[in-house]
Amino acid sequence: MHLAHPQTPRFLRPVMTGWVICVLLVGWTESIKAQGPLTRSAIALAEAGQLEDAEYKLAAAMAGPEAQDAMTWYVHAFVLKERYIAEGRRPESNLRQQSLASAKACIQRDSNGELSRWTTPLLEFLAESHLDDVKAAISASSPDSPPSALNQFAAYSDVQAVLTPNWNEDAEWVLMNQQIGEKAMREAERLEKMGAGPWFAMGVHHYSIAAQRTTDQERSLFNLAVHTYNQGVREFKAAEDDLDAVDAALRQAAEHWQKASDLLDATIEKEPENPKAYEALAIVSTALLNQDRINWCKDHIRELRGGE
Amino acid sequence: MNRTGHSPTFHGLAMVLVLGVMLSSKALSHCPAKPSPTGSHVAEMAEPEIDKSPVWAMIYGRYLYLLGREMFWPDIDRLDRFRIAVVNWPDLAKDLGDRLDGRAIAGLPVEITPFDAQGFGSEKSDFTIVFVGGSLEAEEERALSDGLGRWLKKANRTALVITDGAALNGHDLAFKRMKDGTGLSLCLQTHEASLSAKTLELPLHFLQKLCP
Repeated sequence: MHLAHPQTPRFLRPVMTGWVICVLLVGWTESIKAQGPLTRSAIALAEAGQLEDAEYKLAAAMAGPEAQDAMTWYVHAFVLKERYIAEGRRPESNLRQQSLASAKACIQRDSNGELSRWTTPLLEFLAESHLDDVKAAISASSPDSPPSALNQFAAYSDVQAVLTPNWNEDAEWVLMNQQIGEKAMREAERLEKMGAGPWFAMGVHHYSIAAQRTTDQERSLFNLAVHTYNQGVREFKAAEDDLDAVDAALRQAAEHWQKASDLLDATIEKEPENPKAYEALAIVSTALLNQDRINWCKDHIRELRGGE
Repeated sequence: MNRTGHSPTFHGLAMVLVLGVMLSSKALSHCPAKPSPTGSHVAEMAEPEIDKSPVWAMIYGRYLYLLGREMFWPDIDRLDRFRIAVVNWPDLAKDLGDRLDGRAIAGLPVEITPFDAQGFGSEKSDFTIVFVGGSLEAEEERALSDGLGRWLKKANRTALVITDGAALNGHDLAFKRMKDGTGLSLCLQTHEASLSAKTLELPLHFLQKLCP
């Protein structure tokens, strides 16, 4: 049941759920007087756990005059949400999207917001369930898997857009991509020679798309720079003991280091007071033999630390 | 998003895994959560740590090891150890020590000895290779030249003397850092007369890396 508050400890949820069902039933009973016959019948079927039968009744209700009643659409949204739970909360189920569409239709018809005490918890449930799927998808993400976290996040954001006035997804969208990027980079670091490439590419992709948004942009740029530099160092360390292999690894590493240098320049442009960015750029510039840049970084670090 | 600065260590993967089981949280968040302007709970995310390995010491270390391995050493039969002196570059001495731990060059166990310029000038023994670092730095050059000169004055020096770029008196070979556009490499500059006097010849592979 959706009405248990998201922060409620799990062991209390059954108790809370029972209480909420009582409240809901009382509310429904009060409202039944105002309902059309098809909607009343659907409510009775839903109470009896006959969700598909309730849906048929609601389809008939929505095809007639009862379609003008906000409660009819809420009951439809509720029944779809209950089906999603009954069917095992499958991440790929589209019942939540259908439930959201009905909740929106309810809100459109509920001009003075009388049903918001029911639609709001329903929407919160939908948002929380998508968020759970986002987190699971982040944990399961790999170079071979489809980008399910992004899809789940899009669904989560659709719900939040209804639930939250002036909803702006950027902070959480960027954070999600940073988290996927970080996970991928950690895997690349762990695997080194044994297949680090696809993980590194995945990390670059997610940090890069995060860096395209202005929210927390300097972090996305900085983290990507550090991982890109580190990848160059790791690839050089992993080179075979052969002069041609060492030279090739150095050339490849230099490409990574140059990209890292460009990313750190962009970080400093966004955040000129961050000494860590200058410190990192000094290290990268040492690898790239850019003595002027090293001196420039040292001057800035000294200045930012009050001329120590 | 709140950001209070870059923290020195990062536990991103652990955080992601923790996030994966924080099923009761209301928004994507790190712990501890701080309210963001959007009302969601998004808090600071620590940065990864940059690899501070001394990359040029690693690059020179690779070259030195490969040169030692591929070169023909005329008097190697008389030696019981392959001795490398590393002057004025502790990071290189450490990298070589780590790289060559338990390994042999020319069939001999390797011994790496780090020196500063003054200490090297006082050293009495000979080596198979002497590598001098920091030779291009103006403030180091005099001390290095003095140290190398004092060491060479002692009798019968046979070591291959390599610098990291400068043509110090008494050197046989320099490994010079090269930057060509975004490409990085090392090239070799030889002192032919000195190498010939020691009957040392560079391996073919290395002769292809001579500086332009």
